[in-house]
Amino acid sequence: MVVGILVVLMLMVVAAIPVAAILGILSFGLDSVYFGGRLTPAIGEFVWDKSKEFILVAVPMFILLGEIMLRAGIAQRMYNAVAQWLVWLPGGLMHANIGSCAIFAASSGSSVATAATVGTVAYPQIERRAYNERLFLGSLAAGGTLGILIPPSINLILYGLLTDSSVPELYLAGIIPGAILSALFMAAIVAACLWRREWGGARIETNWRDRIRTLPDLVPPILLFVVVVGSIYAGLATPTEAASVGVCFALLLSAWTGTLKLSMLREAFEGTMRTTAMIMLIILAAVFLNFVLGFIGVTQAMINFMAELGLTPLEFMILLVVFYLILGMFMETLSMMLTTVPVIFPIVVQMGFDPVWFGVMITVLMETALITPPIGVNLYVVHGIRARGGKFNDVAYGSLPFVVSMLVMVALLIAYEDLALYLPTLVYR
Amino acid sequence: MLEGIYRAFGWISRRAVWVGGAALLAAAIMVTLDVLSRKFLNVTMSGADEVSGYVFAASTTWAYSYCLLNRANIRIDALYNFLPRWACAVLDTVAVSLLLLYNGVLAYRAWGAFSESWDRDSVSITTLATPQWIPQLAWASGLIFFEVVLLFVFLYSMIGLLRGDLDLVRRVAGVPSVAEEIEAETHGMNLQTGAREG
Repeated sequence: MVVGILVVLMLMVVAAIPVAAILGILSFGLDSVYFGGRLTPAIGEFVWDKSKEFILVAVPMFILLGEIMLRAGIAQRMYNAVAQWLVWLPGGLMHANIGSCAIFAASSGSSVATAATVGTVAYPQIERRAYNERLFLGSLAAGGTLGILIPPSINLILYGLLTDSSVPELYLAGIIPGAILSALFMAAIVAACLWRREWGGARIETNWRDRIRTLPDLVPPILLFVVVVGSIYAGLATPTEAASVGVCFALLLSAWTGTLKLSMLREAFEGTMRTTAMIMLIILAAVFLNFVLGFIGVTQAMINFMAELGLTPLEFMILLVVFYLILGMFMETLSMMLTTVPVIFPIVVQMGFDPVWFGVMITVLMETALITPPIGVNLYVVHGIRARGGKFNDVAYGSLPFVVSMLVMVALLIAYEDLALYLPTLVYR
Repeated sequence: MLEGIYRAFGWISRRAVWVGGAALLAAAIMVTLDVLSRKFLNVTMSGADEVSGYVFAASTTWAYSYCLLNRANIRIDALYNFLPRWACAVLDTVAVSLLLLYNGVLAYRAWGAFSESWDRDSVSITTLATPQWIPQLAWASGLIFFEVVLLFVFLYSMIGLLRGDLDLVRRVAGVPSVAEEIEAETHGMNLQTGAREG
């Protein structure tokens, strides 16, 4: 029975059926097989209750916040300011790529938007300063993935919803690994450029006067981060409230930069609602499937199955990492998380892992999925911004060093749980 | 004629998205005022969270058709990209039909939830005591509109398939290209990208 369901599921996935339809029809199918269709009539009330949940309102708010920030015209100036501070490192502007992405990630929840915006600003520098094109493109693709780890992250909200984990704890847990991963990306660049000096491009002269002069350009994104994450941390606001305050802050900021126009707002609304609808259609179907699976007892069966295998927690986690690395090569990341977490999470907890820690872990694995070929959204995006064209493989090869950085991060997280848990423990436990 | 209807749906769903986005922005401002007044004036306005939940629920269902018409539904295209165009066109039509099926059940049951609240005069158990049929009507009607648009897109791509017009199927129901994807995520920003020029 289970095998038959899995086969149909795989067929639908391979046939590029919309993920929401797959999950929805799967839950109807399971319901009619196991319960004679008794659960399906409840879908109306069930979806209504979930749709109006206040914690979920944070999702469109963070998307709207990112959309407005994207259009407030801060990317170019921010990139230049970050560059002033980081170009002395071997690899020059590639560090600015990572740094700008990290800061941009703190205001935007979309890795596609992050990679596309910073990428467009940075791309002309490859030719101008004779950088190694592959590594430069790789740094953009990898930097963009930071968006889902560094708070405010939409993915962490969805993980929190699926697993009943606290979103504020997840946000705090993402901060240190986000910083370490950025540092690991930079270390990869430094290592590559020490090995092959010509990859690092022409030197850029800078001085302390310019560094100080451009500093104000970094204030808006950092202030936004402090307002949003700080208010959650200080217990002033829930994530949804903090996101709403962030939206108002972004609105004031765009008024200040002179970009606040009716046409701009319309563009932002279209982008926000498009992404929100895309995510919610899947989420609500996934939550309903979760509900049906709960009645069937699939999770208990999975737990028993794993217990029979007799794996140690470490062996289990390594197996899981390999599973996600392979799955991530072929699957779009959001649907990967939404379809696997409901089944895998209970086993993870049963094995004694911390739910918040696993949220960070799976997010890093999703970042890897974003830059591993053949299906890696960020690779496509960075390839798409190349005005002079080129081979897709350039971006894929250039991202390899950063995949290594991510694997190091995974290993660090397994070895030192506290990298993720230190801040949440300090504040909440 | 059919193209006219297709455009009309596009026109309506775009306006629906503007209204939904504006309502969300208004909700954000309302929630912010609530947070500020609680912090600085020590006054708690109740209901901001409840109302923003309703706004969210309704604006989302009304955005589904916009999402569909922009072909923004998430599909796993690992194999799809290697298939011949006619096979893609068949899968595109099947994809719409399955979404039609899923949302059909959802919309029908959503309407059921609304009519039950209407019959029973259900109100929320909060200080606002909102009659539930009001937000539920806004929410369920979005799902029904989505179902109508789905039905149309299904028929339209079916016609394209029968006529052998693969371009039409791709345009109304296909998976967008990378260039279209980037354009959708950053539109209105005039990024000078290779994707746009190429």
